[in-house]
Amino acid sequence: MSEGEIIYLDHAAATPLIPEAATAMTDAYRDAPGNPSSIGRPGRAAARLVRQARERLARVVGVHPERLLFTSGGTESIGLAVLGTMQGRDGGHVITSAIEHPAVLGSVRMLEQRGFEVTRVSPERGGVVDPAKFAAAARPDTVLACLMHVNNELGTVQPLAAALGGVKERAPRCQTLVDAVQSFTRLELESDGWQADLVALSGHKIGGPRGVGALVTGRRRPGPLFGGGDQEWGVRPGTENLPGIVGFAVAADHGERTRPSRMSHASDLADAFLAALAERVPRAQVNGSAEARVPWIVSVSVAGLPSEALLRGMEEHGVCVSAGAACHARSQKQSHVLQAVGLSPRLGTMRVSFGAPNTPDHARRAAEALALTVERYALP
Amino acid sequence: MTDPDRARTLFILRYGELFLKGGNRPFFERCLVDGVRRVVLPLDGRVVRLHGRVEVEVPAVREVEASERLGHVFGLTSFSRVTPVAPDLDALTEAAVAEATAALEAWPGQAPRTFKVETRRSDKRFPMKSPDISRHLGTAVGKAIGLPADLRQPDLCVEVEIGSQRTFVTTGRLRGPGGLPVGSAGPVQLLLSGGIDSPVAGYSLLKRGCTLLPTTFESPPYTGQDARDKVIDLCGHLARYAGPMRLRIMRFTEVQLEIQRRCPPRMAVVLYRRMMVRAAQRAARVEGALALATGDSLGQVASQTLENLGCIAEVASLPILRPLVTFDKAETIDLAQRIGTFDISVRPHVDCCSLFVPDHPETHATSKAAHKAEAQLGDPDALAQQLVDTSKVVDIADPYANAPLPRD
Repeated sequence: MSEGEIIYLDHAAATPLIPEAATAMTDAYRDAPGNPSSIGRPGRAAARLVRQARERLARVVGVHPERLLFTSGGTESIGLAVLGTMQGRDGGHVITSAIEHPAVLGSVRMLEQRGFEVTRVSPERGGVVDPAKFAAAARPDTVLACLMHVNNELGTVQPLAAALGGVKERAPRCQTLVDAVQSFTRLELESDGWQADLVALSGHKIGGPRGVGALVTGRRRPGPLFGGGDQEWGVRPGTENLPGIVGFAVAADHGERTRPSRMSHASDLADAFLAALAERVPRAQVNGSAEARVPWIVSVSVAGLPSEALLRGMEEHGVCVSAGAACHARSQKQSHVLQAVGLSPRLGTMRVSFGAPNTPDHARRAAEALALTVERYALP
Repeated sequence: MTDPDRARTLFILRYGELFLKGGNRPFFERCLVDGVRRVVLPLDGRVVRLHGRVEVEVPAVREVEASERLGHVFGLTSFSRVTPVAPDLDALTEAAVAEATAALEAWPGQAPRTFKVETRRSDKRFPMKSPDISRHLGTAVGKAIGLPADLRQPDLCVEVEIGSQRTFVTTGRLRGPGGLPVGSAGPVQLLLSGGIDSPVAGYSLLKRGCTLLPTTFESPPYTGQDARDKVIDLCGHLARYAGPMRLRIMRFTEVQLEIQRRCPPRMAVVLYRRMMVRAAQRAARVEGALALATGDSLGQVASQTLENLGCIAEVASLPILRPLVTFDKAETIDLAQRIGTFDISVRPHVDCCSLFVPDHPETHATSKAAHKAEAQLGDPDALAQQLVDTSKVVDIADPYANAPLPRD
């Protein structure tokens, strides 16, 4: 490895833009200078690109194009789902899990401040929410239930169908939201099977650009969070992020077509990493139950040094990972997810997340870097 | 009309304590003038030494910037922006009235209610005596601005100075930072952390004429780039007073971990500090520093009891200066806020001083206990030398070395 070269294992935070998306975006920047809302020919050309991208994404998601709203990313999609669908209500009951992304927890907290009652269902120690427990929280006045597909820190798959289906049985009018940001194009998206009314997606986790995402809606769209023009049926006003939307659709399409090979690749990487880990750092603990984990996210804890030191030690040895989630990396507090699964704050925890550019050698070198970091810096 | 692009502003700079320095006075004055030059030459300024004064001239558009910078030159007791005048009673009267009127217009806050004119006449060739000049000008100024005179506690003071080289009128006297010119006292190795205290200690030493050789310790990967940047930024801030500096960065990780692994936890903090002092002293010998300095304040934390300070100091043969030894934390914070280091110091990045601190640290460390614990580390002096040998140096630029774009 040449000096300064670093093995990037933080794909759950952001993936590199795939070349196909980059090309499509460059073309869009060059060929479609118009505003999709303008009447002239350049405007119509731009509008056509948005329409094609929407249709392309809709095919991947398996919904009618009119069920897709483009947003600025996962957080906005979730905010629009949570706050937009609850517009006009001044109370009600909301169910969510304690291990949701801060985007969900933050928007739900805003509802709570407006007078909603919130139940945050704790996960089991393996990092999976018990669907019976989740469903049991439902009441006749439950208006919203939010559950993520794949937890971004532990990589655990949540039992959506059982949990949300159970809620719908008790509260048929309840809206259900799935945060599928981490699983999109990797696992099947089955909004009907999940009983999900709303599904949040993001561009930069799937090889697409940053600053773009989408919300899959039911027939009833959420209300707008701010006013403006009639873009996105007036639900999300503002000139469309045309190149972003185009790049997002291309990446989603590409991801969908390459899903099987990418997933077997991710499994190979996880196997290589876990085998090397068992050999080189036998004291390391892999978080999240093995049956529920996806292969591309591995959360590892070791004793003897805090997460920040662990991360810097890994970087010193040429490997970039994050502590829990990138969103917490600078806060130095233990993440709410690790806390919720009962992990000791004294342990150092890192999240390794694999992507298409990685090789089994990268995975083994990550285990090696961890071994060296612990040897060199951990205290008994 | 003068061309506004070419208009110049004149400052008169005063220094106090330097008068006490007898035969060394020229040396102190030279240091002071060097400090003034450092901050005003980049503004296209000119510096002239007069008897007991320094005159600075800068382009008028640089006046605000120059004032700000002169406030960072130790040794200056005060300075004023002045209007030069011909040594002639009519010219003086006109200038005094104009200055007072302008001062009144630009007055911040509640308008002044009284004024006085104060004259110093060192050029005895001028035909009137100082009190008579003051009375004459006072009458004219009073009539022009419509305020009564108050010779004891006036709100507005019009100062007139008639010297053999320069005659001027001024209304605004600004306080200088005081102290002694930087460079007049010699170099000091400052043990600098990212905390609140040690930068204030550095400021205090600069104020007494020292130059600083800052040394910091870091423990990657337990500490990160953010913590290093914080120390670099603190140095950059002190460089406003000091000019360019070289920060020495020592990697403390291995020593700290060895102490953690091998020595009694109670002794850890004292042992860290002893190693830091040993290493800083070795750097000081190389760089020619005449003393070490720390931000210690007596009794503030466990390592700062008299016993522990003694146990730490015994490994040094150079004097250890502790400018904050009697400061309350609140006093240090006040000063840190005033000099602008506080906001940098409170950035939330762990530095190595707050790592691996035991719950119950020793407060009465003895030399014997320290030696016994250090026996587990092998040769502490060799370890200290290693810290110096593997240290890095970062050049800290003087923020005043360049001129900002002039404001309109």
